[in-house]
Amino acid sequence: MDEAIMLSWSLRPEALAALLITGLLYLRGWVILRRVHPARFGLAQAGWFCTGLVTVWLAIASPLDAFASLSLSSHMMQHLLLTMVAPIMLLSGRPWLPLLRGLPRKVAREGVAPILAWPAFQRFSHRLSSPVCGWIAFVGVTFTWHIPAFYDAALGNQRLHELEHASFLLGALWFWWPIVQPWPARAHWPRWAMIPYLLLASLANSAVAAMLAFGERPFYATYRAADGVLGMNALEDQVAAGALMWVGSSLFFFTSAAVVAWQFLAPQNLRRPSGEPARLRQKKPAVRQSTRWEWNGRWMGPTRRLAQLLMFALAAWIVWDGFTGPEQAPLNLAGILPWTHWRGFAVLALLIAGNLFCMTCPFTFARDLTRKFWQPKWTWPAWLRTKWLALGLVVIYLVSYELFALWNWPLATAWIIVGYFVAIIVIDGLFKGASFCKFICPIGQFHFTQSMVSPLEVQVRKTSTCVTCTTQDCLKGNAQQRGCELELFLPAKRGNQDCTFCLDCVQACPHDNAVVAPADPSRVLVQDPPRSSVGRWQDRLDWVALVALFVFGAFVNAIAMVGPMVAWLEGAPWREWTLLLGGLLVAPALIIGGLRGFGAARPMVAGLIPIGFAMWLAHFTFHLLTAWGTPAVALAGEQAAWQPPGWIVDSLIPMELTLLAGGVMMSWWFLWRIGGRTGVSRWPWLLLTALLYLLGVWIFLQPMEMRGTLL
Amino acid sequence: MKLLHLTLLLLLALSDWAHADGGVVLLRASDGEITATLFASPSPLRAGPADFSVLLTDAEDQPLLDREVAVRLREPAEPGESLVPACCRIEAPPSDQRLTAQLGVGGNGLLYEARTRLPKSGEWSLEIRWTDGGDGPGGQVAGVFEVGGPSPPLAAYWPWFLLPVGGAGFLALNAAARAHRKPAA
Repeated sequence: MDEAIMLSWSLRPEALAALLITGLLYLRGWVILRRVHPARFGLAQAGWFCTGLVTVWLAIASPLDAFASLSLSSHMMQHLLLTMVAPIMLLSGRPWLPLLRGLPRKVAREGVAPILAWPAFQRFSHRLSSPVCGWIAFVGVTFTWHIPAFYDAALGNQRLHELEHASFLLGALWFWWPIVQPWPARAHWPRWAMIPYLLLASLANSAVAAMLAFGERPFYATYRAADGVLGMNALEDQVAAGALMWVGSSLFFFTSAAVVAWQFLAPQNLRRPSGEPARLRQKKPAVRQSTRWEWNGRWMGPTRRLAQLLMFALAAWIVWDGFTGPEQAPLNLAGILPWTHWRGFAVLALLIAGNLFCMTCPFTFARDLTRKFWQPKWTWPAWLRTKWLALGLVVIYLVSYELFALWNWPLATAWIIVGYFVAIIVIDGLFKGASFCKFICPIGQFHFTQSMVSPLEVQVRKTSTCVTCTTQDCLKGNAQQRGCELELFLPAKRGNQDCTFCLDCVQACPHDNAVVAPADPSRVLVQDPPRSSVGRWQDRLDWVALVALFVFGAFVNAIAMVGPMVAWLEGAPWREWTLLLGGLLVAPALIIGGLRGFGAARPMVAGLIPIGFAMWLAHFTFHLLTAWGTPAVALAGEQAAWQPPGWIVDSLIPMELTLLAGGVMMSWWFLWRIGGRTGVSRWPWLLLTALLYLLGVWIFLQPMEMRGTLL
Repeated sequence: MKLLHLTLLLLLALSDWAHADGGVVLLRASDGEITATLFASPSPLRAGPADFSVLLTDAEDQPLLDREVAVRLREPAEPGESLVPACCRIEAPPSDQRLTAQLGVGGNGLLYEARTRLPKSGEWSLEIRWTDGGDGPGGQVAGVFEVGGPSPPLAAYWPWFLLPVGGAGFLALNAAARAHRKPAA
């Protein structure tokens, strides 16, 4: 039994993620600050903070939590760790500056810094950090949660239970702040005043503890119901919990009061209110070192070819199954892999890294193979060097997808893949460069657009190296390696637009100056700089139209598969046309039409990319998760069956809502910044994204078709 | 850093099925010397995902950790409000559900746990059976419990709706701070 109890640990993924990210942010900031102030941010501080995080983890995931609904004393021990032990440790780590410094530079500088520098906010936070507020918060939280109705409600509802623990921890951090005074906090009150502060809190805490310890009956219904389980007596358990609260808390209050008294009375400490040794002020700042992550993908050449070969073989298999396999889509690889798995993995790759689909594209593999025997002679016509042709093909694709239920038609899917191979071989067999990718491929345009918010991009390591470069191999190529076929000159490339992530430029650069490094989407979306071979948003109506189409297309594509909409669409043929034409043409045209002649407003469309991407991401990830195991069914035949496990089903809506919320928040941020730069009114755009968010929420809360499955 | 953000998002999304304690006591009954205590979560139970955990104890109140436990749920004779499975056209759970409860899967090493979906509100009947895995004597207890109607989406997913609200608040604060920033000298 003892072993079983000791092994009663729970996963708590959300808490684990929050603690891990907090710890990593702290350590990142601590490493940077330690270079400047090694004594203020010593190993002890990092140790205290990390131990504090581990203590929080012990409180919420150890056997203490597993038995919290069975034993009040176990629950009380949890609360003691959260209110007494963890906060003191966390604050001893001087967390404020390391956490701020650990944030991504852009977030810290543009998001948080303006707020912290705002005098009104400083006044507000100064008042809030006063001991009176901390005392009220701590005592208020303690009293409120021990009211039986609230306590029992928290035990019966996991979310409320988490809220209870979060409020205990936050209230305690607030309370202990003036006691620990983590640098650079300044004291509101004289140090001696902390002694009555602690003793009064101890008094209030003791009142609750005494109520539990001297109660004549168990106060909480949950523990009354568990009376006798495992031989425990609910009243005895309550008395033990009260004693634990009383003794445990008092120990911390009185020890802290003694330490404060000692600090107050020690003469050397009286001269140093912040508790900092004087020698620290003499430290010279160290030279800041770059912490940017970079990857030189020179070895990617053969790896990319291998990946393309695998994708080519997979495409051939899909085509074969499409032509010869069963007509029932969930039993045919052509009905599953392209529409469910490939799209899901492609959007996840866009979120995690970048345009990995174009990098491993099987169509360009076939094109390159053909070019071993046949070299193109012509240049793509100047009047077609826009995105309009590709935009038309995207509309045709999205309309055909719904009208002909392409996901449910393996034969048509096989023909589309064959048509793709033929098209790229013919077009790129006639015209130089990657004309098909840049001006025609609808899939490529999707990836070019969505990858504008991806975290990685190909860029130069040092611009000074490019200034002295005379050969421009990254663009023009050399005897061993071709240059960029998409005509992107790396020093002038900004963001991922038109970049297939082929890394040809990385291979071609003789100075080893082209790398994969973290992208900065706001540089492209907000500032709208001139970009090599792309130009600026305000000069590119075709790009703006393409983006608008993909944003509205995300919602049209998703709404057409929810129960109520499917029922409505089946009522009359004109309804489907209304949805498709209205969503794919009229809505984007209204946005774009309103912008004609107002070039400055066009960059605002870029701010819609995150919410559009979030919708595609949530939608395709939904299909990927619900049809994850279907290839096995397709290979095994009708006798096999696959249903998504319960935990996947339960996670779908939270996952979709989280992604959509992330998308709308990013859109708001970008729109706000773009509006500030261009002077365009932001409110219509913010309202539009809010409406799109609500539409997305409505879609996710409807019963959806689980395409790619037999359900 | 973005990978961290992604991890956070995914873990947040997964948090809906993460749970630790077994819930609150729903039923306590004995068969011979063995007492079965059934914990259920959420409390009160509603149509939708539900978690049933069983604690088996002997006459000395020592937990029995080597049994095979099954939970049988039968839907009400007069079912109330049905759960519309948002998101998926998954097969509705059968009206007679036979679940295998496994030791420790919910985090508590003393509890046999089974998860399911309750498709309808009303008065459900429940049966817990256990055996020692061999030919030895088993036991069973039975009872009924009330299941309420499904939670409305706003109540079920409220933490996720707070995300954009918080984001809007942060944006508003940032905008206000920038608007009051003193022009550079």
